[in-house]
Order: sequence, then structure tokens, then C-alpha cells
Amino acid sequence: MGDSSDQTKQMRRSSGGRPESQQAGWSLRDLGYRDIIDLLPCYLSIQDRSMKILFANKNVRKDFGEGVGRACHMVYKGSNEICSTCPVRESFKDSQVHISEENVRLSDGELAQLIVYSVPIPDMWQNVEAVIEMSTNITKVKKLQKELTFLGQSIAVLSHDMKNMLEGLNGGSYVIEEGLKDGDMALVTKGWDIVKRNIGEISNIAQNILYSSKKRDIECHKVFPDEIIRDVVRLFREKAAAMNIRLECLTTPALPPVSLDPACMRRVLSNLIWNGMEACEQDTSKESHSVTVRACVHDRFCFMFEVEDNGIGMDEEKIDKIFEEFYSGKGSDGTGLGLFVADKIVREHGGRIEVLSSPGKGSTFRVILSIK
Amino acid sequence: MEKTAKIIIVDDNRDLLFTMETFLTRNGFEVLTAEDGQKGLDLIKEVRPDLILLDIMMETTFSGLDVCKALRSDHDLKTIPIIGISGIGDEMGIQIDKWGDDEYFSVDEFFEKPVDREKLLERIKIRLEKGVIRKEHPNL
Repeated sequence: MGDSSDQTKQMRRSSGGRPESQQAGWSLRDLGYRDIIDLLPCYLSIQDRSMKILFANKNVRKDFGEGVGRACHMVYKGSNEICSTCPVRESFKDSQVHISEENVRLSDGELAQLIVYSVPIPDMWQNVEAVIEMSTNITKVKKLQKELTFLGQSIAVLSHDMKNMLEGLNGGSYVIEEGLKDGDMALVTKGWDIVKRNIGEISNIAQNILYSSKKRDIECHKVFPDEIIRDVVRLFREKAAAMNIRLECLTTPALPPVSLDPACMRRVLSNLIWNGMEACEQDTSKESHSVTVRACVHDRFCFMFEVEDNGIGMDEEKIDKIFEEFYSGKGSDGTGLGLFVADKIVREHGGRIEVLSSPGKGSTFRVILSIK
Repeated sequence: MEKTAKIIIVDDNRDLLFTMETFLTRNGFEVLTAEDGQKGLDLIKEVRPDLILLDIMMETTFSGLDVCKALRSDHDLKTIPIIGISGIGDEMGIQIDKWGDDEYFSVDEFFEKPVDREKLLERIKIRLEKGVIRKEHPNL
């Protein structure tokens, strides 16, 4: 195998946009097989029985560094051990082509998923002298596949939530009808409450879907956070009273105006308060429940608001998952969007949410935003 | 006088509990409710109802699936007809086995939300009739 880089350069120089077969004085025979292998849009290396790389094409050299003379598991995975699913070893064993999917680390540190084909090279006595390992980077395909699976699951979760809300509307209407039939206004009121609650949930889920599905441009302007917080808390007063939850708002008077998107912040606060109220509703161990909203200046650079509840609380495993899209720890009552959306909005504002929680005791969600 | 059939509804959704309770009470049944699986199971053991309406996918500590499994493995309670209700169906890979196919997780009927109440009422009546026969002839 002679060095062919000069030939390659020559070929590129001479092509000049015209079909290569029409180039005067040039024939395919001038192109060495190394050049052809280097042109292949895949990784290709040849290994001996000790897994030492005898030859590596240009793509391998570019993405994994100079590998010739080193063990393939070291070059592709940085491992001292032969891979447990090594297709090359299998081809040495049975002289057959093998296929496997492998996770590798590129020389720039990125992880990639490859589909690997191993093809035995027999000598004149049909013994496997070496094995060609040819692979293609399928990271993007895998990511797409994962996203499609996720999309399918998300639709199923949403469909479940929509069915629950439809059931609520359906049931609420029935109760109203029965109340009207009997002239029982107490029953009509109860039915109407069920209908209103489910309309509220549909509106909430629709807003959260909008916030989670696309990147929203933040429209920041100077606002008084105290006013926003009091507005949102006011919206939940009736609901909290119906759920027998004490909803308190403790904000530092005269909070300085801060620059933020008020619509986004209202959504964050609504989602956190609703989350706290649901956590209280699920808790059967305490006699009374409360959700407290506080806001203050965190330090010279940051403003903070927090929502504390004495509901069911969470263990560490649950805390790790709560900001994932469509994760819900609330059974049929949770859409799995509220905290995901809150976290997304806060991060878009360059802030963070801290969570303190203890199973059986309750949780505190603290939003920290920089003062601009 | 004909005995009023007792139905226990187990669901973590208070709205559904209330509407189903209203509906079934107005149709002449004695109805008791429980908001989670454990309370439901305790109530079922205490009251021994004629039929159970069970939300399958409650994710309280003791889910509908757990209640179902506990009932079907209890010698005294396994013949009580269970009607499963859920917003989740085949699209989530939940397989609802009919009575007799699986000794642990099996419901007699399954309704997807939103529930067709008239159809549910019809099936409850049929199940209650069959339940009486099953009680009297458990080997059938």
C-alpha cells in the first residue's frame, strides 16, 4: 500500500467540475484502491487476530486519530478490553459476516453510535487472515428514532389526559342535568364546579403544550414581581379553598422592579402553585394543608420566589425526573408538563429552579432569576 | 323485598367518584367510594360488595392493578365482578385480560373514558346477575 495522498490531490485538481471519466489523460486505473477506500463515506479498518489495526481509512483517522498499530477497542472505545459484542472476533471464529451496533467515543470527545459490519478476509487456504471492520455513524438516525418513540408515548399520555378531562366534562354535565331535573340547585352547583374545573384543566394543558412545543420569544420589560405574584395567587384562591388548602402569599414589600416576561412568569408561578396544591391533595397523612408563595431579593444580583407545600413530598429518585417532559408522579391527575414547562421558561430567562423535598413532609420549589 | 346491590367505586379522581356515585345511586344501587387502592381494598374486605368499579391506572401507592391482583388471589373475594375503567387502552400496551384467563390481573369488563354511562349500567346489571350465579356455583 503506497502513499496515495498525492494522487488524490492530483485527481481533485484535475477534475474541474467536469465528469471525471471525461478528464483528458486520466483513467480510473490511476486511482489506487487506498484512494477509493479513503473516499468511502464510512469508517473502514482492517484488524489482525490480536485486534491490532493494520489499515485505517481517512474517516477513521479523522475521527479517531491515527489508529494503525493499536488495538481497535483502544482506538474506537478507549478500552483495554476487547468489546463483549465484538463482531470482528466473531468473524475470526466462524468466517462469517457479522453486524452489531456499538457506542464509540470520537477523538473530539463526542459519543457516537455506529452500525458495524465485519467481513473476514481469507488467505489462500481459506483461513481468516484479517477482518475488515466497516461502520457508519447512525447517531442522528438513532436520535430521530428515539424522538419518534418519545412522540408516540407523548401522544398516548396526552390522549389519556384528554380522556380524563372529557370524562370530567361528561360527568359534570350529567350532574347538572340531574340537578336541573330535580330542581336541586346544590347538585347543579356541584356539577358546574366539575365542569369549570375540567375546562380550567383543558385550558392549562393547552397553554403548557404551547409553551413546551415551540421556542417562544421572550418579551422582557420592567415589572413589579410582587404584583404578578399577587395576581396569580388571587386566581388560585377559590380553587385552593375548594380543595381545603390554605394559600398564602408572603412577599417582601417594595420589591424592586425586575426585567422579565410577565406572561411567562405567570405560567411558571401557576404551574408551581398548581403542582403544590396537587401534592397537598394527594397527601392523606396530615390534617391541614398549605401552599405558601414567597418572594424576596435573593442577593445583590438575584431575585427569588418560592412555592412551598406540605403535601406528599418526593424522594431523590423522583426529584431527578420531575423536570422531564411528560413525567408525572401524580397518576391520572398529572399531565407531566407543568414542571417541565416551568423549568424550560426559567432556563430561557437564564435562571434556575432549586428543589427541596422530603417524602411525607412536602416540597419547596425555588426560582432564582438574575435582576436585570 | 329485593336486596339493593352494593357497588364500591375506587378512583383517585374525585370528579369521577362523585359523578359515578350520583349516577349509580340514582339508578338504585348502594354506593361506597374510596380514593386510593389501599382504602379501596380495605373497604372491599369490610363490605364485600356485589360489584367493584375500579380505576386501573391510579398511581397512588396501591394502584388499580394491585387491587385487582390482591382480589383475584384472595379466595373469598375473587368472585366479585370487577369493571375496570381507564383513560388508557391498547395504545399504551395495557392488556386487559378477561376473567379466567389470568388468575392475577383480570377484570370482567373494561370501559375506556369517557364512559358511556347507559352501556355501563347495562353491563353492571348483567354482571350482577352473573355474580349471583357465580356465588352460588363458584366452579362454573
